[in-house]
Amino acid sequence: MKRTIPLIIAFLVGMGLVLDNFITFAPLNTSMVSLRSWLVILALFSLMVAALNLLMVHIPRIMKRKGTWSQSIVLVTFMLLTIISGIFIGTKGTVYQTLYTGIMTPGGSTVTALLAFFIASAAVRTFRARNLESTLLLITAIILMLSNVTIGNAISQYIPTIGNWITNVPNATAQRGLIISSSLAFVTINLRNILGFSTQWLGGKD
Amino acid sequence: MKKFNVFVPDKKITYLLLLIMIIFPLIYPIGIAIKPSENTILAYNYIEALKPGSSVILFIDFGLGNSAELTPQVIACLKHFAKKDLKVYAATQVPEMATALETYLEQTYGAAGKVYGEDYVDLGYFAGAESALGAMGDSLIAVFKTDINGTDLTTIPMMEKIVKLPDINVVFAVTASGTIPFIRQCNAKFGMPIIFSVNAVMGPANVPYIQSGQAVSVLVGSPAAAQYETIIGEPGMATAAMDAQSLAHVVIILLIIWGNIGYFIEKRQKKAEKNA
Repeated sequence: MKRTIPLIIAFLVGMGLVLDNFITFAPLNTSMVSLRSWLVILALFSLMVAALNLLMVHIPRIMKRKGTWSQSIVLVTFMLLTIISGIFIGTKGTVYQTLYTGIMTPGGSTVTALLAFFIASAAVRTFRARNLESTLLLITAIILMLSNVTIGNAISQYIPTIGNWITNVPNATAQRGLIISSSLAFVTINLRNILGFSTQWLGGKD
Repeated sequence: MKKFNVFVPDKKITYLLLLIMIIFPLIYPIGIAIKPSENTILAYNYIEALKPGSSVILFIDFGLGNSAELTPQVIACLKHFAKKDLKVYAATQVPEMATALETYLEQTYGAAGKVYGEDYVDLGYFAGAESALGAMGDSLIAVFKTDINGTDLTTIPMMEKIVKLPDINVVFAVTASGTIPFIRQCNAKFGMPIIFSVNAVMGPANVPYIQSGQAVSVLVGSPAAAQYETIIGEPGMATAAMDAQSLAHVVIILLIIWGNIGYFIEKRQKKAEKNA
């Protein structure tokens, strides 16, 4: 029963949502509208569960002074400070705005900006024309790097033209194949889940 | 001790060169001409052809990490929307971006003297990602009961004629996580026109959607933002960053070429040693 009932629910919900796209039948369509709004409520609960889970992992770590407990103090302190200031003072309050514009925004941008340096260094050290394939990759990369910034057009008007051709013809052809095949795989996986052929989501084995 | 190789620069040298080439043009701009790409012109022309009073729903689907790359696109497009008197419904599916979204609207619609509730509305954060987009197709109020300030949506003048997602004319989705949910829930289901704004790495993967007509256009990274700023005649953050990005790309290319010269010299030396 522990497995049969969830499988029946998944089948009914999955088939209902699929059929809703193709059939106009008021009872089905209305019930699927309700179901879609339930999904939003469920997603909100999962957000709350995630926040509680974070506290349940880090508070015991701080109490027992285990592992990187000092970093856990920073995480829990700022998490609670953001939540409390947001709820009780409001998101337009000084405390929340200072946390947001003074820490979160520059912190987030800095971490991503560092990637540019790592990628540049990795490209410089490893990009070598070792064979025909890597030479083609190298030439394509250089053309696209130039065509995507203003200096490409300043060097030659042909650079953006070649860059556009690479993006719109060979790239688009390959991407289209990838999109279609991954979409078919997506449909297959979901059909297996709906029809009960795959029970991994229930903790079972395929 | 590691053998010094002049053709394989140390990481620190690469970082330093990049840093100089990024900072220098930000302080002393070179002013390399910005030529709008086909995709940017497509997006601009589509917005330009909309009648005043048409509605656009703006979805913010990126975190603060991608803010430096995508914020200039949001600002440039919102400025254009405001000039065209378009009604903007803005929402985000990233919790941390709800505050940023308020700032974007204040900097553009607020600064242009537009009236909140009549010309633009901030619907704030919504949970549920694609499921929520699906639910919006049935009813916007089912997903957003109130706006960001807690005002009941039914009391907002802009919401009088807008009940569900397909009642809105255009979708403007700024995303760093994926365009497919928007294609599935907005275009495939309701045939809504979508303009995407994505970060640079996502650009090539989304070209097929323009060719198939599932997206009006895809604006890619800071260059697209700079091009949009140029077309609307309002140079901003992206225009200022373009010289830096150009020089950084040139430095990386030169270092790659330099490394390859070293690789071929080394290869020839090894061959000569083997033959000797």
